[in-house]
Amino acid sequence: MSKELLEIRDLHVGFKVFNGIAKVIDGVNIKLWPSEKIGIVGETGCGKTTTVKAIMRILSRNSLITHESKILFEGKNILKMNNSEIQKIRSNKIAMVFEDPTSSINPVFNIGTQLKDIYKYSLSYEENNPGKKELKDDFKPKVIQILKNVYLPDPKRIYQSYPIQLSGGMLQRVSIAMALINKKKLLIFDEPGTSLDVTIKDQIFRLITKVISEEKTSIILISHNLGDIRHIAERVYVMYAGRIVEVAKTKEFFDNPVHPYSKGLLLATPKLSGGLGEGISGHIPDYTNPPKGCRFHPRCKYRMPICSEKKPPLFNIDDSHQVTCFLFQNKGATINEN
Amino acid sequence: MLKNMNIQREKSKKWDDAKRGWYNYSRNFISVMGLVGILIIVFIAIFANYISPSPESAAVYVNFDEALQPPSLSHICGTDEMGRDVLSRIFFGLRISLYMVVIVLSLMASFGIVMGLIAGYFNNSYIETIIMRIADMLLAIPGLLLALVICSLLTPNITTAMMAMTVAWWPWYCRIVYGLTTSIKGEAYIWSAEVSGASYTHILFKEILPNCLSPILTKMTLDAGLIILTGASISFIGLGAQPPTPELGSMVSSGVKFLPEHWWVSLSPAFAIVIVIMCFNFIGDGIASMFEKGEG
Amino acid sequence: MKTDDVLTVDCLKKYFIIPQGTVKAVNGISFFVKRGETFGIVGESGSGKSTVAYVLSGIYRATEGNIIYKGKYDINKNFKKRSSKLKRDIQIVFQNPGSSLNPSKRIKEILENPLKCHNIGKKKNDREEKIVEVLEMVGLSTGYMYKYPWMIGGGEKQLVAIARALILDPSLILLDEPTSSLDVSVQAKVINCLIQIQKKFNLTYIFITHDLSLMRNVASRIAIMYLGKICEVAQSSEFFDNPLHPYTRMLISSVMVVSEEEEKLKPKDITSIGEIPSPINVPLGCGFYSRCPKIIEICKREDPSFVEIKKGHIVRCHLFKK
Repeated sequence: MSKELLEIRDLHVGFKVFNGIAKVIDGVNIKLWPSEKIGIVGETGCGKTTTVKAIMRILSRNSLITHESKILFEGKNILKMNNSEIQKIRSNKIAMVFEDPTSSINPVFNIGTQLKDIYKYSLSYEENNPGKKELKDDFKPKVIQILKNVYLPDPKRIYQSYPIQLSGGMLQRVSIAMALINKKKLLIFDEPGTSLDVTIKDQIFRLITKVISEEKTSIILISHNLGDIRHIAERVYVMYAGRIVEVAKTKEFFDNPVHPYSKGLLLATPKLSGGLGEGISGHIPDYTNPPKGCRFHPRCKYRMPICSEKKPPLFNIDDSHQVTCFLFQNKGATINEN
Repeated sequence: MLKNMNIQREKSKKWDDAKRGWYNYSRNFISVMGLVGILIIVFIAIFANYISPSPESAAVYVNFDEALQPPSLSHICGTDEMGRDVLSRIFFGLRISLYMVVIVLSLMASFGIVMGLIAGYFNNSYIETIIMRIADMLLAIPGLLLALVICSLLTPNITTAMMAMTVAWWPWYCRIVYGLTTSIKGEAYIWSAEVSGASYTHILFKEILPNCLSPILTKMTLDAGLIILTGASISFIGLGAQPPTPELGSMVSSGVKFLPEHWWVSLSPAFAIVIVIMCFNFIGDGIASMFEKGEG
Repeated sequence: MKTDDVLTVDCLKKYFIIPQGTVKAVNGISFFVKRGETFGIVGESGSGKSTVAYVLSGIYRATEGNIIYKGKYDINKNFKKRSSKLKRDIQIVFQNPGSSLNPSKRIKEILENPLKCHNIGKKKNDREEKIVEVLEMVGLSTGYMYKYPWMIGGGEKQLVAIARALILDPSLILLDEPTSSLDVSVQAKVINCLIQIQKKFNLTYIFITHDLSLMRNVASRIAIMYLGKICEVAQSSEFFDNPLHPYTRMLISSVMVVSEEEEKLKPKDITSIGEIPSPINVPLGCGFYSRCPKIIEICKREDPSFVEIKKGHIVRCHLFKK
């Protein structure tokens, strides 16, 4: 079995707030292989963005990560890296495309300048740096080529434009272009398309699919929309209140979701063919005082006494399908030791 | 039964608001210090008659035997050229300063806020043009200068000084509230109130104004210091409080000629001014956090 | 004019004049809404659907056109000039729950204000009773009365906005993307609540959204808007079984679905291309011309008019002739 590209092991992230410590991420384990596409799905406040921000080491100042947490990228622990190493990772290995393109692109510089800056910066971290003098002129054609690769019409005009002159869809393509300036091993997309129209979102997703198939990059796609995940991801991680509750291959997940939360989510999603289930009553827990045991038990229809006492471990349903729910202890599922 | 329960709950909820406001405010040690300072100052001002060592010093009083005595146990801040106890005069001076702050702030803020609300809500109309252009004209003239001009044209005394400051500074409140109103006006809850048929008074004072309170109150605490300083400046030049009124600024002014040997005559009231202004500024720090809403 | 129609809109236009030109937000739409049904308007950003809601509720006054309410009243008036009864009868729920509730007021005051403005309930207790009643209708406990909006979640805020719309006993409620900013599980609760209330009180809804899957489950008749004009109107099931207009087909094919059976419903012949043009200075001809994969010569010159394909199914496209 080939080595994982990214492994998040036992991640615990908390935030210092005025009435205590919000224990947001509580033991998250995620594995990602090269050229694999995974999706992390969960509702607002479940901790998906916090997890990927931990990978990129861009969490806010009041965040606390425990000593035992490990994020291994190509074998090295990101959490223990020093500044220059992490800068190298950010310019050359991992890139993130944020949710709202209008606020993640600097409004006071034109697109060309920003892309040039990113390109120059990334080159200075490359292994064989040819020397600063040579980097001077070659940028504009390269940048225009990159803009063409993301299917922006009239790249020369876009090069000169300021963000305010472009629509949301174009800006999202520009942020993808920024991520793709040099070959990356891992791309993280945080809810791409949430602020976009449906037809534009479809185009952006097709662009993402094309890009990753060409470059063989791995992808982490984050969304609260199950349809988006189904469209792109090969494996799905379902998160609730800072914990992974279910892991499965996409087809298996949508045919047979097992965790009560996953089932609830899928039922509550309106179907094009007709059918809208009930929602899930309740709301996400207060992280400064989370429920004991399983964090979903206050909202769960199937809860048992043990759910409010012990934290459920990861049970194997079969090879690639795991779930953290005590319902499956009785069905003889083995505990996943990995 | 339901009625009683609800009334009970309503009262306790108002208390909850106060508790939460205090909790947020008290997180900042400096603000609490400022509040304590102001409370002490207010206490002194109200009870100046009873707690000052020599209440007669505040009025016409002459005792040349004790003139220009340095600070000692009987006169903590020394005495001035007329033999009056400086500390007592400071206590009474605080009374005048606070009186100025309260009157000027209330007039200035209320007029400025009302003008700002009206101009902001009816923006893009002649109402806004009239109000804001008048405000702009007044803002173009330096505040202190305008206040001095007004004072010199009328009889110089404390009342004129207060009037002058009100005229000079209400445009600041107008402008702040104008900006806030124009942005709040477009929010969905204002549309909802309009569509429900609420009157203009209701929308301006009950829907928009409560959301403007935080910056207004913060500015008011900062302005308190400014008012005291300006009042003192006006009196320093001789256009405000007239002798023998113990106003802090005029005390500083009349004590300047005794520097540096008899430093206490001028510097004690100056120091008092500094402390009062600092306390108000510290309170301003806490006001903003008091209005912070917690995350849902 | 059937007396069964709650609302008849005829050639409604709303233009905004800005320095760069005229924004033709709503550029001539006509439709009718029957009592007790949910009429859906679907479209993307820039289609003008929210503007329609604002004109109907009186926030804007239409530039041209007639809006006939209950067969009798022409309601193309600004909310200031509308009668009290009309203001009570037509209510609106806005898209963003965060900004539709005044953050400095408790829920009780927010719900009480409409009653006070219309002088309903002479005594304080009468009003309180009404508030409790309406909170129960949306499934919120009385404990919510004394909370501030920032203390409750998005879904609950939207339920309060719905309660506020219901408290005046309206007949028609305009719902402008009520669940767009909510998570899926909360959305389901809010939508189910809306459907129950509609059945109980025989309310008429105009439901506006860009989410087609949601529309399928909520609306009985659907109109699709593009660049200020309606492209197609049909019964809900017909709309999805047999979409005719190229834009409709493009939109349905772009939906990210969660099951195989839904995949089968998506048209395979059209995928989305291009972007909506600016509504300022709209060119002649069909507004969809720049993105349509099935254009013919006439599309560039002439704007098509409606053709009835089946009873209740009309489409506005040169590809379909009488």
